[in-house]
Amino acid sequence: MQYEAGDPRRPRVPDPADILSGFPGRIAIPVAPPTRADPLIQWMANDDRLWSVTLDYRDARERRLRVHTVRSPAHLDPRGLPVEDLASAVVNYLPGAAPSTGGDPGTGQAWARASVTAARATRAEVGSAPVGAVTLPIDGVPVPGERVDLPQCAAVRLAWDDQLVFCVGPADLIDPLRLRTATPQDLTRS
Amino acid sequence: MGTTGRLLLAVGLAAAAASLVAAPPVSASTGATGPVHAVTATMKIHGFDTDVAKAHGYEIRTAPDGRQYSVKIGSSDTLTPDNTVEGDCGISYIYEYGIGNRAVELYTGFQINWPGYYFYWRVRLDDRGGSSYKTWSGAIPDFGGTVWQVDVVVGGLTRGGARASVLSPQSIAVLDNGGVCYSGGPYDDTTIT
Repeated sequence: MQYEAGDPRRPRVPDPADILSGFPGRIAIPVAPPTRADPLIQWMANDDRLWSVTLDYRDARERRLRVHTVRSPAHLDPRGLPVEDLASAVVNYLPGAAPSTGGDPGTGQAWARASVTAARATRAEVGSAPVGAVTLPIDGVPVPGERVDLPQCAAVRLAWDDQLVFCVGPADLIDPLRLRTATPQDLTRS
Repeated sequence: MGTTGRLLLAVGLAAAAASLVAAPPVSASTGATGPVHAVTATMKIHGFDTDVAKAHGYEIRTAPDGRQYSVKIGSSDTLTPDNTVEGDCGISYIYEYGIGNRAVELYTGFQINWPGYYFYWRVRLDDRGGSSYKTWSGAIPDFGGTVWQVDVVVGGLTRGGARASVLSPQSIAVLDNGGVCYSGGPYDDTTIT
């Protein structure tokens, strides 16, 4: 009724298990999450179909480890699909320009421009960085992929059957990383 | 509510099939350096979610003129400045670049003036082949829950003119104080080659 009256429809806050049940594939999580590893969750939908799930973990030093799982593109119209690559994974991992203060619109616009300029520079940086082959275990099975190391972080792209998994974080969190398939309990524990 | 519960609850599987009306831009960026062609728009408090407010220690009160405002539970404050009074709670943006190979690169996000609880963000991408929708939701990760941004490359599009629009009022951030801050609906144009 609120929506019909002109108010925006508010997103409901569901049980996170809905993510797992609605995601057309498996979701990867760390076997041994960092200290204080309560995951912060985001998701993306493409044309109203769940496309990816992003889990952020913080270690005791507040450093972030991100695990980004993308569904298989099978059975989807390729038109307008997101193109998932290491550059996007790194750009989306880094926090970007510090926010403006004071709420002045001009300052905010400058912040937005600075954020986008920084993101494009990061994308170019990833594009020119050497990419090496890597193997990382998921559910105990070696999964091939590629890795790029930057001063700010390391990023891995894994071809997990017909899905993709991206892991981004400090190199010393990426180096020992092992993954497994998430269960509903992994995302609903408290 | 513990940190885990709070963060996990921040996942929003929103009702996706909403009305798709893009509001006009509020203002245009005109900077001489960096990206200059995109449009940004302010974010405004639209209302309050009393459950979210209560969960974070806030309560919603109503001023004599009927306006609602959010204060810490038990506070003697009579009005939270700037949000419901001024109507502004942040800024949202979108930039769209044609990058060749029938693809575009989108940058979109927001900055809110107070920490947020979760967000729901819906972008419509129009090109000569039709429209598609990209939706993001979840916890607000950066700068103390005040900033969310994303970079996405979209492929398989049709050559020609294209527009990316943040849909308003569906695109929102819910603040810790219960305020519902929605995007003013920025958009940007490019050419797909």
